[in-house]
Amino acid sequence: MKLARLLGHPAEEFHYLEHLAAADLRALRELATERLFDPAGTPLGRLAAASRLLPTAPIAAIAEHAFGPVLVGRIAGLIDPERAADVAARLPTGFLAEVAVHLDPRRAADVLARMPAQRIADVARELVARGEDVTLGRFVGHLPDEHLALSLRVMDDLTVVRVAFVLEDPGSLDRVLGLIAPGRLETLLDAAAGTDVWPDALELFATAREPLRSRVLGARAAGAASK
Amino acid sequence: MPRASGSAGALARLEEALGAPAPAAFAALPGERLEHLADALTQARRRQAHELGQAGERGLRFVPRLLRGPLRKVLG
Repeated sequence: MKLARLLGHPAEEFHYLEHLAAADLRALRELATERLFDPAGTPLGRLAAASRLLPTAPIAAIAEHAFGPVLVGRIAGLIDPERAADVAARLPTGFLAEVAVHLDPRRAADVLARMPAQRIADVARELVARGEDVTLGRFVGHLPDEHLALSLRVMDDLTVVRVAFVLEDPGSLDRVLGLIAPGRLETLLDAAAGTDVWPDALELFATAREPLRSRVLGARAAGAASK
Repeated sequence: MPRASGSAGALARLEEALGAPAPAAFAALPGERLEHLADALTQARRRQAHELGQAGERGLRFVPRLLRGPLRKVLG
């Protein structure tokens, strides 16, 4: 799905890739991302260079009304992070949520870190409302702790569980669980009971380090350990 | 560009589109699937370049006339 979205095609067109290992798909997607985000000798690089001639207010107007979220997502990481954060401050939250869908967070980590944590959380709330678990999962590993903690607070428990499934870096699970508010870990999995993610949720959270593992799984820990 | 025949040719076309060797697992895909991937990526790059050009022109309308000339020089 991520590759299909990156290339602007319906996901079903790439059904023939479903049997490939996730690591292989991710490797291909990263190569394709490099190609599409590469500024060298392309209009992307020239547009980023041109933006240095303008104050941030007209850049924000151009971003929203002339470029749209896909192209802004491509360019955002090429602009000076301080200026990009200033531009983002001038853009509507809904628009930033659409940009997030098309942004490569690895290339925009410095921009994200310069944005107020509450603004990131507002965008996260918008992504939750749009059911963008995959996008949220892509960003988790590239947000500072404060931004991630605040964003986790605006996600309902089921969304947190769904995001855990799609984390780009499976090693991020411990970091996510460590930033969840005290008292919430013990009831997090209750939201997944009876849903399509329930069968795999126990297995996923059984991979967390202690004591997080025990706090999330609680009495289910013994059952998970036997699998 | 003429279509590459066979899986080897299709893999070469995909790698040209990627600008890098494809992950080893993809060599096992049928040629038509590799062609589909190569086409999709090539079209995405072309579409992006076209849309960026058009967006650049649209964006100039938000810029004071005095700056449009210098910006056009940078945009090429």
